[in-house]
Amino acid sequence: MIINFTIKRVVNVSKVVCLWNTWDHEHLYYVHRQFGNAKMMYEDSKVAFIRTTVKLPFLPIYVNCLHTMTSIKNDNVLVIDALPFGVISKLEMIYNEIDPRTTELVNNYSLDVPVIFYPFKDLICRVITRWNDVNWEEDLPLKMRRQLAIDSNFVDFYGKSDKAVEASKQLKLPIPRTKDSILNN
Amino acid sequence: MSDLKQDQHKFFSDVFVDELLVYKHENEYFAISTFCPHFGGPLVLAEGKLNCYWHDWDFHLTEHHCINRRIDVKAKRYKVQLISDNTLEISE
Repeated sequence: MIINFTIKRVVNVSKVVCLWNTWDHEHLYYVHRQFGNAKMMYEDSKVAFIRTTVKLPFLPIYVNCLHTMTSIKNDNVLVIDALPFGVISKLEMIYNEIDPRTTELVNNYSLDVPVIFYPFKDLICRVITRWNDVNWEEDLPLKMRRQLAIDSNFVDFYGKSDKAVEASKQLKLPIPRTKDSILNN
Repeated sequence: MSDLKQDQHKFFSDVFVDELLVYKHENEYFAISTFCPHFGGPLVLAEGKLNCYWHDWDFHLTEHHCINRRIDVKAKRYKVQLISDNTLEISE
């Protein structure tokens, strides 16, 4: 039984900033309280395969979760999550650039739930929506700040610099990490 | 200087196109860019160190190099000169 629903939002930052936030897997551990551990299993410029422990809304425990993220275009990202309790979900995240400082994010959820869970459809949607809300609220300051940094001629792994060029404002995947990153250990 | 009563003050400078954190440590004034050199997160002074919560990077209070990652980067530092009892001059 498939449950489909969509969450749309608009944010006043560039599309590159939104994509950067999604692909910065390391911040999951430090910023989002609903994530426990995070470990990168595999990553290249198109795919990221991450193992995390997550705390779902309304439940007091952390459970293991695998995330597979696949970029399908330069300006779109497809995220496939294998969620616990046998609920397999596909989340298609679409980033629509409205203007250079405004981006619409469309999250299309498809949840493949066993028939016995279908009576709980509304509850499942509420849990996922709440999950999305919390992540959004915690990520918003990062997006706004990242945009401010880019606008202030910031260069990653260096800082503010007169050497900042237009190319440094583009997103290159995968996002670099230090060797002692929590994702590597 | 009046804003430094709590030993630190943060503001955005249109002159430097940068957000600055000015603080006093062991009778010396420092001014740094609040943009963490990693990805631009907010550096704050707390519990005796400069920290960015985005990825938990810490920086030395006086030397400004990263102290908890195996990487050679520094927070950008500005020159600070005490002009009078209530005036600091900040320059690159």
